[in-house]
Amino acid sequence: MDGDEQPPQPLPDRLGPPGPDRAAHIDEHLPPGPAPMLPRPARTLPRWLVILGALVLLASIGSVAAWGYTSIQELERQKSALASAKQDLAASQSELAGVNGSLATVRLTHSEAASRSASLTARVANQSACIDAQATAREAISSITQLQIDTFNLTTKNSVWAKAEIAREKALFRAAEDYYAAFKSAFLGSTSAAAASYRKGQAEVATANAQLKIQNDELATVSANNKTIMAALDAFTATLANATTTCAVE
Amino acid sequence: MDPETNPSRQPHRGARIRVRTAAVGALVLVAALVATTVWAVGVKADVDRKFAEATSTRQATADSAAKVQQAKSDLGGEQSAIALANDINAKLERQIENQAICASAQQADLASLRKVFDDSRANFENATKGSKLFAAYAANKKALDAAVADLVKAYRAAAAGSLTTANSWIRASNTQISIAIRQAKILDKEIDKVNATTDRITGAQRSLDQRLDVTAVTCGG
Repeated sequence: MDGDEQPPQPLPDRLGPPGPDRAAHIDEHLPPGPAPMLPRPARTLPRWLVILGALVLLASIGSVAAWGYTSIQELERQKSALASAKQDLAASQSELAGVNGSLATVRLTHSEAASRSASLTARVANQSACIDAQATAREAISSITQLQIDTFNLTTKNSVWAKAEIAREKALFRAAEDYYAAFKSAFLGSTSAAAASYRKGQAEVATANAQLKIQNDELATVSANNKTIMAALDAFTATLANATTTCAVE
Repeated sequence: MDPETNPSRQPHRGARIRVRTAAVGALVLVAALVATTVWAVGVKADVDRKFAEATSTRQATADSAAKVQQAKSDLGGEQSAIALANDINAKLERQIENQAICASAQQADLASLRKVFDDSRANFENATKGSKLFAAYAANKKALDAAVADLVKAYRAAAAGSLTTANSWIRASNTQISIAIRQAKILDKEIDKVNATTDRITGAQRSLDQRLDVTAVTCGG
């Protein structure tokens, strides 16, 4: 600091020793002419104050630096934590992407399975409708066939009609025999015997006619059944067409 | 005042420092303090930013982890649903197979039933009006009735004494009986045919009844 500013006068040791000779000594060394003006003395501060101030400032700088250093360490920790968190995030996002990918695949599979379920359910429903329609048609044709067979059996062996037919034929044959006997008796002149045979013949014809009535009643049943069969057959044609159409649907 | 006349103002080089010097030093130190503070605040700001970023990243990680958990849960749910759907589909496929067998059997039965009906109907028609059998039956009946009627006429002619006429009615009656016998033979042949067809239909019906029982089992009935 002393080297920063030079005073205008020589150093004090050039003034000579203190005492009466000193003035003379100064005079010897003073330049001739008027005496120069001395500068104002520099303002100063107590050294302790400056040192204290410097210490305060240095302490502050140190504190701030320490805080900064601590912060740097904290920053390093945070950087490390951030890097770790980013790694965790990346891993988690990667896992999420993987799981989401699997989920998308599984959802597609589920969607396909659900779609197949719907398709299969529809097929089952169509098949059920087909089976029901065919069962209805089967019942119908079975019923018609049974009625047809029953109707056929109305005129077969051992039927009422067949028994009446046999009885009628027998009665007619007996009538023929009686009438022939009546003819023969009349031809030979036995009038009363002829009349008796004739009456017997008439009785047999009456029997034949009675059996014929039974037969006709049975044939009326056959005709009625036949009409029922024809009507049922028409209905069956529609039922069968419905079954065919229903069963054509996949 | 001259320093030599006022010793109290005499500078003491070890105890005092000029203000300028102190100010310069202070400026340097304050500048250093400011710089240090700026640096430290910057570092702290970086710390805060990193902390915020780390916190945000951790939050994002936590969110992502929650999403992973949710996705895994959804995945589990979907897999369970798929397993259930596959199970249902397998059952439906078995049902379709069984129903297809049932429908096929029904279709065959239906065709057989229709055949039995058609044969029965044809057999019936072979024995009813318009058939050869019916024609023979009608002709037989007509001839038989005529033969009996002719005998009545023969009796009446004989009873009236018209023997020649009576004999002619007898011949006419015999002719009708011959016709009746001839038609009866035709009738018998036709009845034999119908009976043969009936036997065949009855056999078909019996085997069909057995098949219908099998179909009922196949169809779960």
